[in-house]
Amino acid sequence: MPTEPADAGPATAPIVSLRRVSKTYDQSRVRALGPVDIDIRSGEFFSVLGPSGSGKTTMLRLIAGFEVPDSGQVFIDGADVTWTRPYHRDVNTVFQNYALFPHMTVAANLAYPLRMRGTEAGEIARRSADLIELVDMQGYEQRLPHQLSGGQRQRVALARALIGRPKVVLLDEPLGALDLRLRQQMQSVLKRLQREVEITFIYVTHDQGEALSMSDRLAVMHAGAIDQIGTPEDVYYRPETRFVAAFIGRSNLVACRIERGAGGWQARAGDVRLALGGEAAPGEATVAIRWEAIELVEDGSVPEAGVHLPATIDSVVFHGDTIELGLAAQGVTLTALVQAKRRLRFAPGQPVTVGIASDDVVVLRD
Amino acid sequence: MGTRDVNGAGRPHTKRVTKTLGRRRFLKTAAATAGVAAFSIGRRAHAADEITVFTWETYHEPPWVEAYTAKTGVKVNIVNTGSVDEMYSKTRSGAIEADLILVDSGSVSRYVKAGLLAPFDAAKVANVGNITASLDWKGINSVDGQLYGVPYNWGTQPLMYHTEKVTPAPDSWGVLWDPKYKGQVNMFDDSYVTFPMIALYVGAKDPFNLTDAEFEKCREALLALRPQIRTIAKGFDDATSIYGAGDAVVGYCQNIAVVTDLVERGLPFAYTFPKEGTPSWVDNFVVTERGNRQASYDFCSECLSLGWQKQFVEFSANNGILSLDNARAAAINEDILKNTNVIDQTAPGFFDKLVFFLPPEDFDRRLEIWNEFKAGG
Amino acid sequence: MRRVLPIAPIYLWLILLVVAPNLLLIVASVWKNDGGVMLREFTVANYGKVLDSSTYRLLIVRTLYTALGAALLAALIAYPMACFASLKLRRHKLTAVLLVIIPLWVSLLIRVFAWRMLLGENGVLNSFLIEIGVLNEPSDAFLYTRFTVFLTLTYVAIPYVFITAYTALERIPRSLIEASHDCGANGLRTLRHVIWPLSRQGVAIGFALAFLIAVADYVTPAMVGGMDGTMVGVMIQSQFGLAGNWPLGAAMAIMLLLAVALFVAVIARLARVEGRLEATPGGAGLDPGRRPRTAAERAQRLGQWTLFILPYLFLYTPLAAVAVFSFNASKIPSLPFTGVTLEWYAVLFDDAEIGAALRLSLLVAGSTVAIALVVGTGFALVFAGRRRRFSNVLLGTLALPVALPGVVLGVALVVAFQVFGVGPGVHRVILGHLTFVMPIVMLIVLARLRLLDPSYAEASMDLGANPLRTFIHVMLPMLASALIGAALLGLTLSFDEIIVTFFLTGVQPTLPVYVWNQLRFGFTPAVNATFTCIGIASFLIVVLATRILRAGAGVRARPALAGA
Repeated sequence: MPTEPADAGPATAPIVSLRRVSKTYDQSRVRALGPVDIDIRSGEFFSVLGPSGSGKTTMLRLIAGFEVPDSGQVFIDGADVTWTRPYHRDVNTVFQNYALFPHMTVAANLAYPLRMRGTEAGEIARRSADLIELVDMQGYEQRLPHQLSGGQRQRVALARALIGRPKVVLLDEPLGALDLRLRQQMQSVLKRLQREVEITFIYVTHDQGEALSMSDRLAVMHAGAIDQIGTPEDVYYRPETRFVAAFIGRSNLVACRIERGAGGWQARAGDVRLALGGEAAPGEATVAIRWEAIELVEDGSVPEAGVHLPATIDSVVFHGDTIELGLAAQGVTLTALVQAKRRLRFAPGQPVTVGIASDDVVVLRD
Repeated sequence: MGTRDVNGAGRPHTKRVTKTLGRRRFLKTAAATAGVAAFSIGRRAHAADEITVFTWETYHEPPWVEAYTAKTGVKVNIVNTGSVDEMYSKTRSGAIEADLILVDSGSVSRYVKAGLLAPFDAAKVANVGNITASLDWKGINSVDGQLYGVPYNWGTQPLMYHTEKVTPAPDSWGVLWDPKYKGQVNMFDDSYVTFPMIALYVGAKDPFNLTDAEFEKCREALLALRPQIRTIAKGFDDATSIYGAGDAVVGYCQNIAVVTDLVERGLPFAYTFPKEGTPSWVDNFVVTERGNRQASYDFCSECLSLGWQKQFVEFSANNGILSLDNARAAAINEDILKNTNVIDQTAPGFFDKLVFFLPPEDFDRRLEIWNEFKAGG
Repeated sequence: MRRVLPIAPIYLWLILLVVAPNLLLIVASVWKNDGGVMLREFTVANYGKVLDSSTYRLLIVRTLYTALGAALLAALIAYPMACFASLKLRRHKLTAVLLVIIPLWVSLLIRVFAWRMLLGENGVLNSFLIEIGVLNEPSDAFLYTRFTVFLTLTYVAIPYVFITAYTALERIPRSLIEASHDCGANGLRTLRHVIWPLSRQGVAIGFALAFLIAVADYVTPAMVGGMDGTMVGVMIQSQFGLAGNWPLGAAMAIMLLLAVALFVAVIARLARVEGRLEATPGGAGLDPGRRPRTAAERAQRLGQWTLFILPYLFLYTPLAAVAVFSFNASKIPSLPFTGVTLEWYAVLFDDAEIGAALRLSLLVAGSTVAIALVVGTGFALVFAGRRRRFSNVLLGTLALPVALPGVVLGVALVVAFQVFGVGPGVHRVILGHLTFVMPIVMLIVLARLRLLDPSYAEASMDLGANPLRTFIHVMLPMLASALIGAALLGLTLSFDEIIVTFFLTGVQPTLPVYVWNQLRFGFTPAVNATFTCIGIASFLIVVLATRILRAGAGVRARPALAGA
């Protein structure tokens, strides 16, 4: 399922492709990856999102060439690079711990990739200066890595990965070590840089916020497999698996039976019948409903394409900007997240009516 | 004195067997002794019933000492030295705190000067009368008129050689400089012991009182000797294994026990007294301040007894200190006796060829030249 | 008062065991010698004499040159080995490392003697070459040459360089190597630009260690080099013989020390690396998988394996010879075998002299290590709380004896013990060994302490444990592996020491001194048997210790599959 020819978008050739790639580490019996297929388009900001152990770093390392797959092929810009050494691939990596050479100054770190390919000194100096400016590190050229702050190291690592103008830059959770504020700042820096240099970024992270806010597209990984590939909106609003629905945002997962009802397809759970937006296959299934998709309906208002359910409040958790409500609706337990307003007052036992739009009820694959 | 071939036909086969048995027995009995010794590690020795003797290989073999302990209850620790220098440095640095030391007469004054010795009370040594009259032991062991020791053994340091590989039989120290034997000469790692031989070779008038010119000649002789020598022995047994391994065929013999041992292994070695003269020594019991007590004197006396001297002479083929009459009275194997100088000492003119060690004029200077020799160019 | 109390013992140790001996050595070097007796009159004549002596100059140049050569050769052999073990091996890494270190546990003397056995005129090599018809008669070219000295000192030095180089290499985060590949540098250029600059300090420490050991060692060169193996240590030591010129000996020792210090300073300067490696979890040795190799790559791989395996053969051939000849019926170690026998093992178990020497060595090593552990840990705890510049000076001074050539340390201690009236005996040897074992234990423990998060101790005290119980229940378990490592190293150093021990030992010899005496006063293959047993025993101890450490470290030590 992972490849989505339907979603292939503009007819540009993929810059990175994995074909039936799988990998098992010697030490462990468990397969770390695959087999997976994936196509990453030239110039896009592509994220690989997943919890630790999902195989996302392995995938990155296979693309970088630090590891070779047990089976399958890796293509970069159309060429089969499955067995190509990392130093012969036109790909650069920004490491999780930056991996700046501790014995080299910022300038020397930047110059390193160019020196390795024999670029002449003048050119090295020009491009270093450009990159220093790009990442806003003027004045720090002669510093050693340990004399820099985390954010500064991050920017140098980025500059080092960009200076050789590779076809693809791989970023392995580069913001993981930074504090929240710096992380947010760096997110926008990264996004801006990616647009400026027009290089494909493959960004590995376990932070859904990062993935959603920065990516053109993203892949969600789970247990060595790709669960879903799509735009942030696709993945958020139309999760395809229970894992994606639970991992990205927060959803009510309701076991139900899909039936053809009077007004079209519907999902039945207990006494509750939820209208579905489109076509569906009949049978047992799980539907996902985002917490925030469950609205409180003022009495008498007209439902949009969806259902109104009477429910009772079981629990109330106040978050400040939102309020989390535990609801019992005709034998189905749901959680709703509503915008907090001063005039809204909730208490356990209070009866309410909730409305669920049919487009927000997503039937999952598994 | 002519060449003495200890491998001669007259040598009885029996001696070899006896000695081998002796060595084997030694290992067994040593086990028992040292087992006891191990438990006293770290404890302060009981001065009354324990003495430490700093001596030479073959002088105080464990079975004899063991027998003495069994007889008297006095425990005797034996520590062997590899060279005269080592003996002095370990005594001086306090590494070995001995009660009795077997010091050669030429070094006695050195020990006295460093304040390491107590005057020796010969009256407390019962068997002092067994010492041969051929040796002027009181004279050589006195410093400023004060007696510091009694002799235990005397001997020569002759020229030793492989009888098949060194032909014709040499009669001069000069053979050591013969290019024919380049890389096959052995020496003893001891400046004090070796220097007099060099001095005799260069024809110094008094090998213990060299003039500047003679010093220079010695230096040149040593430098010329260096390429002849590949390795230098650090003990009797080391010498034996160097000759035994074929790494040397001729050399300055520190103790004829080396020759006896090689012959016993079936190797054709012999020794000779070269015409220039042969350095000779007398090793003496001296007492340190802490050793100046009856237990030490009693042990000295035991070592001068006929029975002890018999086993020592038979084991090492050294001379001991008995007169010929006493040696015969001790019933020392006559064949072994013939290989020693015990009989020779009665011959008129025998001592003329021997040059007994005396305190040298300048230790520093000798050592400096010796170190230069060892360092090479 | 509270601040003075814990540091007082440090000063006491410093003054009694480090400053006083060295000061006395300096003082002695400017005294006059009068026929073997020191006169307390100031003179610089001794230095004049040293500088004047062409023999001293010749020997010191030869000694430095030999030591540097051996250390260099050892580094050239050990560094590729360490690189291979650290970077290429995965499953058998620990075994590979242990195999290099184990020879250290087999006495230095016997390792040296093994070379004599192999190379002598009636030795294994010669008899083998004659047996197979390469030679007609034994060649004397193998033993008693400068080359043999180089070879043997190199042999002794390899484990030291290996272990420091390996430790340095292990500290390099693997991501840096990947980053270098990522930047387009192939294996060789990564080695040159990243791995070497980041590990050369470790190599330099091992190099300096090997250099110091080789400079101090005059027994080994004399044993295998014959006359050509005469080193400056011999000359220094000879001043303590009949010539009895202690002041001159002291002056020579100091001059040697200065020369050595100069060299070590130059080495340290050359090896200095800018920048600091920070403790980052390196992408733990993941299995990169197998790529199809080109012919050139296969050849390169073969070369690497050869460079890795050959040194092991070099390290173990002499040891194997020792083991094999412990079963030979003949007393003389030459081929062919005259018969296989267990006699020497029987003799060994019968021979209480070896037993006594072994027990004494164990007593000395055991006591030394026990005291060093207590004192070293105590000192380390004091230092861990202080990070002032002065503390580093104190630390450096405490560790000085480690860097002193054995002969200098021996001479200094003899002079000091003489002045303080410390009589001969085991305690003197133990004190002597403590001067260099304690600082090593202290430095190892301190390094570990500084890595530990201080909040563990704070948490423990916060939870109501007093400092002692905090130490026992919290710090000690976390220090355990460092302590075991330090103890093993201390045992080795003490057990194998001969040069300093030779100056200090009394009537009862330690095992190495006993063996040395045996080599001089009657060698039997029982000595081979002894060391075969010791070799096997030490192997078992090391394996056991590693097992314990691994079990203790448990989950923490296992490389987590980084972020995958």
